[in-house]
Amino acid sequence: MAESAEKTVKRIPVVRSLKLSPDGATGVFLGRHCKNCGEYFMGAPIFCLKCSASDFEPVELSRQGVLRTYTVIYVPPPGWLGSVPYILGSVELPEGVDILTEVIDLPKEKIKIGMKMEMVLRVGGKDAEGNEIMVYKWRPAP
Amino acid sequence: MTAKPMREVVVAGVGLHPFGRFPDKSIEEMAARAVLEALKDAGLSYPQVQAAYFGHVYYHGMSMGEGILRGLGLTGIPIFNVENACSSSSTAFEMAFWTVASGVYDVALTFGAEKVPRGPVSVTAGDSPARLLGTDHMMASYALRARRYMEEFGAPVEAFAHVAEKAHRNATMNPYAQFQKVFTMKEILESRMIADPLTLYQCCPTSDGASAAVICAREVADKYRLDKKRLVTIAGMGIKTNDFEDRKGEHLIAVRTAKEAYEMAGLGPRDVNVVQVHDAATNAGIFQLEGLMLAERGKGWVLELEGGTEINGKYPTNTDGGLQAMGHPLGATGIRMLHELVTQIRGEAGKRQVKDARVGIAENSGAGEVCTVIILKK
Repeated sequence: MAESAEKTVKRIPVVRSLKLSPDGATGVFLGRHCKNCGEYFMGAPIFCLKCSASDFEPVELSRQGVLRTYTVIYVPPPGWLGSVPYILGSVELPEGVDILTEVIDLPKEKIKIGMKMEMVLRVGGKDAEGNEIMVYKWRPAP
Repeated sequence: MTAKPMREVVVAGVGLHPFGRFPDKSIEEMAARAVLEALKDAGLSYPQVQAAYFGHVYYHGMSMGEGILRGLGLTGIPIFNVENACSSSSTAFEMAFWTVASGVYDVALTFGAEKVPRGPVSVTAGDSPARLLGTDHMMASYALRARRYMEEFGAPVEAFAHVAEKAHRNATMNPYAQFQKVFTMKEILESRMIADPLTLYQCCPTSDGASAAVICAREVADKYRLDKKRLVTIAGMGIKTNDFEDRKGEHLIAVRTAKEAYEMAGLGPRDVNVVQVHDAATNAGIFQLEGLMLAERGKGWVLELEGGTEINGKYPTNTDGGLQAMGHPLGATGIRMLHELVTQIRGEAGKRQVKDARVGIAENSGAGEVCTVIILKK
């Protein structure tokens, strides 16, 4: 990845529920666990989507899960900076949370529901200050 | 919760502006034509309307319903603007129904209109992280469900394509449809891939269009000199948004909504003669057959491929062309579905007439998720 000469380029996560390592090369999903009903969520809901309680504990969610479904996008939405076609995969984490994002490092002919996937980070774009926006992707788990 | 209306409510008249692309026509002009057609169909004039409910999605300016109806005269009636994604006008219809059923108004106008910009429909507004993630893609959300369904139930992609093939065949008999030509299975399956397994001809087009229905209490039929033979009874309805379990199955919200509508109507799936489902993508046209309990979960594709949804089949579905061939001017679609049910139940559908159509059901989905189900009967 190209380094800015001024070395002022920072790496920032695409969403607040993604916590980056100090160098921004890896990350984890931040979530909440409902103490009332036991459900897990990505991000920081104020009220539980299942039981409407608001008593949560913060958790770090798994970085691996199972591919629940997928599609291959040939006509991308406006603003998409990646390659086309690309695979979108919905992965279910052991906590029961489904996370949808691009699947990389896999020929589209090889994709299969039920595959084990792991989360990795890639530069998804830049903000107005030239900071690198880090985006989470799925790739087949080793 | 199934509510009981305090009095019977009927559809007295329906109207449409053709669906398609009309760059030279304003939304006011299109909506007014549908409204005037519905009033004429009912034998009523605009000053007899006591309240109006307008469904739309895109922002066409503040108080659009007022802006449209002022062209028909400033009568001072209450006008309600309703936005509920693709189920906006069916939502408006349900709201109007309950005010008439509870005696607030005797005659209400419901209508929907839209001019949808070209290109893919976006769910999120502005600079959303979904843009960088590549997830803001309406047809991808359908395609993800399609792939899961194929894996779970062994459905072939031909079952989805058949929904479009049938829709287009039906629409050749409908002068209001955006497309009025036959598309072969081969053409549909070999059209440009959008989001696997959905090809271009399995994704409904974006459209301009307008629809309207005038409803009234049956007990005022004589007072307004309505033609009683052409009145169609509003028998049951339901409206739901997602609950937490709905993420587990795409048909579940429709099942919950349909149960409420069937119970209110005192009818069941076996009583249904004509069907409208929200086939924005072809696979949804199959999932919602299961949602309306016309087929078991996982068997909707069999019903589709075996001809069960044809005009001469057990459950004639999207007899006017559905979203696939009629087009999808978002806010106008819900009442467009009811327009077709009314036309079929009256026996006025011409070449696409279903034999002995007595009970019709319409399922209209909206992002959110929203689901409305409305049952009409002779």
